[in-house]
Amino acid sequence: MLPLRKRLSYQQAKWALLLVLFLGSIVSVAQIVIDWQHEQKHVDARVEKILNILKDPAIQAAYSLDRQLAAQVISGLMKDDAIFEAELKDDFGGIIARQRVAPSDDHLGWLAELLVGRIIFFSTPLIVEPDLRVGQINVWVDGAIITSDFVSRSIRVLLFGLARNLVLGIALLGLFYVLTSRPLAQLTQQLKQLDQQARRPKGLTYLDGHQEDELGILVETFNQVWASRDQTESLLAEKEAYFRAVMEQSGEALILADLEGNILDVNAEACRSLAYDSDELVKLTLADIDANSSHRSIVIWVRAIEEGRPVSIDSHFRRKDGLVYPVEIRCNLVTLNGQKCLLASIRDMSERRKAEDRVHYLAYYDDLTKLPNRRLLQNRLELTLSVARRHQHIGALLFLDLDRFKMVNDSLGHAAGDELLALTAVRIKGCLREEDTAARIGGDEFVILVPELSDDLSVAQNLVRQLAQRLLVEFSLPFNIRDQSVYITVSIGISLFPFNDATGSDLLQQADTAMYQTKAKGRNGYYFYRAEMQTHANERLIIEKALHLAIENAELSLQYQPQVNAQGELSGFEALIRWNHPTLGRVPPDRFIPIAEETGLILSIGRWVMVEACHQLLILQAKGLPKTFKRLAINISPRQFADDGFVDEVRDVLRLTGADASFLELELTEGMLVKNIDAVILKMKTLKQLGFSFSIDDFGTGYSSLRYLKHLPLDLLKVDQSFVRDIVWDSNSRAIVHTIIAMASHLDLALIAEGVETDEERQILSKLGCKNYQGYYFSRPVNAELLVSLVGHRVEFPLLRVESIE
Amino acid sequence: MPLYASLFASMLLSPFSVGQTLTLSAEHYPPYTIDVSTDTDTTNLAITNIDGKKMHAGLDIELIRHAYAVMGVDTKFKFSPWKRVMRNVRLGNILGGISCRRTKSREAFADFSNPVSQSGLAFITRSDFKGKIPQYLAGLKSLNVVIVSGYAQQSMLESRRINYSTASSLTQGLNLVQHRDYDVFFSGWEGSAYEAKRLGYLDKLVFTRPATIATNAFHVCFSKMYAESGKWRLVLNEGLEKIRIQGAMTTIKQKYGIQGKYDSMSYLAGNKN
Repeated sequence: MLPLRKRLSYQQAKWALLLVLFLGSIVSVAQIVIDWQHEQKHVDARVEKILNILKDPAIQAAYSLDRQLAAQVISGLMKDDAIFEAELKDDFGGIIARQRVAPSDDHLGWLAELLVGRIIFFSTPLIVEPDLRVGQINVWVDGAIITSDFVSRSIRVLLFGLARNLVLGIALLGLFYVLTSRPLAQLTQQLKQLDQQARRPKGLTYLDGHQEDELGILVETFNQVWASRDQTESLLAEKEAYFRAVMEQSGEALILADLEGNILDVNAEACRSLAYDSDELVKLTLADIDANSSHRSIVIWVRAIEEGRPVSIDSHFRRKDGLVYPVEIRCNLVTLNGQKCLLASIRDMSERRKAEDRVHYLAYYDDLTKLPNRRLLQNRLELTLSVARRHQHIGALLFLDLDRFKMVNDSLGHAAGDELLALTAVRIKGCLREEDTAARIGGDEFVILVPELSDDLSVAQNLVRQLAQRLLVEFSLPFNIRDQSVYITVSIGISLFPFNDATGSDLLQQADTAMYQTKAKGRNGYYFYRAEMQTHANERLIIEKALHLAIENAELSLQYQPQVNAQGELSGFEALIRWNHPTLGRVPPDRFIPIAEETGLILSIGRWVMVEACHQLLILQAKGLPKTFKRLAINISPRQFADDGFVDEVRDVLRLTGADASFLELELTEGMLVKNIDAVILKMKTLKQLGFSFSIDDFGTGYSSLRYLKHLPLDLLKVDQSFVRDIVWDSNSRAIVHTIIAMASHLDLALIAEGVETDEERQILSKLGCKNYQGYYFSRPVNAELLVSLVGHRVEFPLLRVESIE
Repeated sequence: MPLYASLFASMLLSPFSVGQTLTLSAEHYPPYTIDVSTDTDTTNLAITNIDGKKMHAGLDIELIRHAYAVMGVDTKFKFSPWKRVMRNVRLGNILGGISCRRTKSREAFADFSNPVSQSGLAFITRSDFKGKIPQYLAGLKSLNVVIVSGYAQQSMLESRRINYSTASSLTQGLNLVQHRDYDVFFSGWEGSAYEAKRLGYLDKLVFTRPATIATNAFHVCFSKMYAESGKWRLVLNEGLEKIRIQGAMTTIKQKYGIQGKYDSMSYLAGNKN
């Protein structure tokens, strides 16, 4: 029950009463004012009337200076109780008669003082016709008495008005209660019961006598809204249940947060992955679980979403138990109850990151010895070489090969051999400084990279000689393998750098050569490589010079290595360039391509390759390509792809040759893709629109960044032949290939293995899930004529009969 | 003395004074001063001027007008209540007033001309008055006495500490003694008799002359405060002397029935006093 002062009827009556009081007061005041104006005239008229009555006797008294008559006149005036003093004067101001009584002591005298003044003075000249002034009458009137009637009347008006308005207010209170408040209270009671009743009623019931009035309309309208609300609520409940189910069944963690980062809702996966209860999570902010998240970052995300850019962030979440794990966050904006919220979809990247790390580790380290492998060594070597060149100090590369290791393997078994290799690595590392690198580049081959020895050649030679001798001493001690003492020696080849333009590969080759020199000289020793330095430089100069004329002299040619599917059917070719120089003979691509890259000749050579390959494609198409044929792969060099005019160049080639780009595949290497990724994507998408497909050559040897991979419009991954080559005996290579195959599947990319040379390799690859192959096992590269023949005869692979074609 | 006064008066009258009009104030007090504009009973006494307008009449007015006229001075008369006349004389508002008895109180502010006419005093009682009519002023002490306010009788009674009541006029005084509880109306003989006759009950009143009071003369009382009042008093005295010598004074007095000292008016003949 509402208290009286809160009831509508009371409020209405109160305001009505106040209004009535206000208006009534205004009317009363207006009445009093009008009355007062009239009263003022009345006051003047009253005194004037008395004076007029007594004027003639007064004139006579003044004229005749008759004091007795004057006294009678004054007495006559004083009979009016309002006059408390009167006097009659002659024309010279002499008082003929005067009378005075004390003014009244009225408690409302202040009111009279306010209205007319406490004392009112009247004076009338006494004039004998025509114009003889014989005196004057002065009269003092008591304002309190003259206004007493008016004051009494005014007080009555106010009091009666007040009483009337109070009665009116009480009457209005009752009336409003009966007509408005009571029905409303009944409706309110019904409304309260609506939500309290377990079974929801259909609405309000009409009040007796109010079916047709506004309350009836109110009930009717409310019932309509109520019904509509019921409908909406059930719809909302269904939708909410649906979305809740979607959210809960999502495999990804979903977090709903406001734009301040306060978590509003989570799904079960989020609770599971973060190891929190949902009640605990909704008390946290994104910053509590993600150190990288902040209000500023949320603002940036929101802006990106509003600008239509996808928001995908790699970050790390912190579980309740403190464990931090990598996540990929994708954000969307949703509006709930008019409030913008972030809906974050979180994918646990732990497994993927582990796989990436594992790929990286396997790609760069030798799992057996935990030493860097050839690839990492190559990277470090190149880096070291450039630093040494810049700072003009001398470093050394030591190539170590265990002597008669095969014998250990054969006698003690591969496991013992592996154990020996691991111990060898430990022993080598024990001889090195922190900044030195020891790597295992294959079998029993180790390489030591010493970045900085000295600025002086002889000092450097002495130092590296000491290192070699120390290594020989270390290896002179027996290895304890399976309770057996195994003695083994090592042959060491040393190359110093930097000298001339020797690359890392050159240095490795030099050290290798020096090592063979040691072997040749009886093992268990070391040799410096020096003699071939100038020869190598000269050879490079000759190649560069000859390469300028290679296209003009038609010395270049293309060979095509078939690519086959699991059924041995032809699925494509890879175009491979060959250079046959009149005097230099066959120059392998790995000799002249780097020089072409370096000199820029690769641009014209690349164009020549594309034109040649397109012509060949047209010829093959004219011959009739098998249904299984999908691609003619063309290798694109980094410099060629990076060239700003590459896309136009490709368009021009297509226009010139009329080739169908949908049968052309551009092979790129990983290194070409990671720099300026946005421009690369744009360029690739443009070429995609022309019909080209893309593959990544030598996959696994580069950066292997999955993040970039998923953004690139790739079609095919080519597993590097180095993994394939070792896949039979090296479990690490198998693991790498397995991972790459799984990754390609996950990214929805086709995959082909390069360098398949044996059926054993093919079988292993097949078991790992590989379905496309390329390599000598199936076919060596063939020339254009044979290519046409192969296509024309629909041959199956492996193609044993053409092995001697090249 | 009259000779010297006459000479002095003649010396005073400069050529510029001749032809001047003097204004004197008076109260309607028949037969001495008659306001012909209000008193219809005295029309027989009225004087018509050469321009046809009536001139104020009365014994004193005609004597004074005549006296000044022989001195070459024109006169006008203005009527107002006697108290107002006396107040104006006292304050110097007017040159002088008539007809004026000589009293101590008036000497303070007025100079008196030579007597113009005479008037006796009378204790006026109703004819059916049962009490003893007094012979002396002291005899009034035991009676209800009424006098005209401001008249000379007032100072007489006050000097003798005799209680009295006042009336505003002769008419009121006569009415009071005739119709109210007043025993004696103490007033001038001739004036009262003239008014009583006008009121129609002269025969119902008894006039008794106070034994110790001589007949008083009427003068012109000149205001001491009024400029050159002394000169005009002397001129009047000279004029009066001339008309007395010429006999005009006697003629005028005969016209009003008052000829000399202690004379009663002829129409009062038959009264026991």
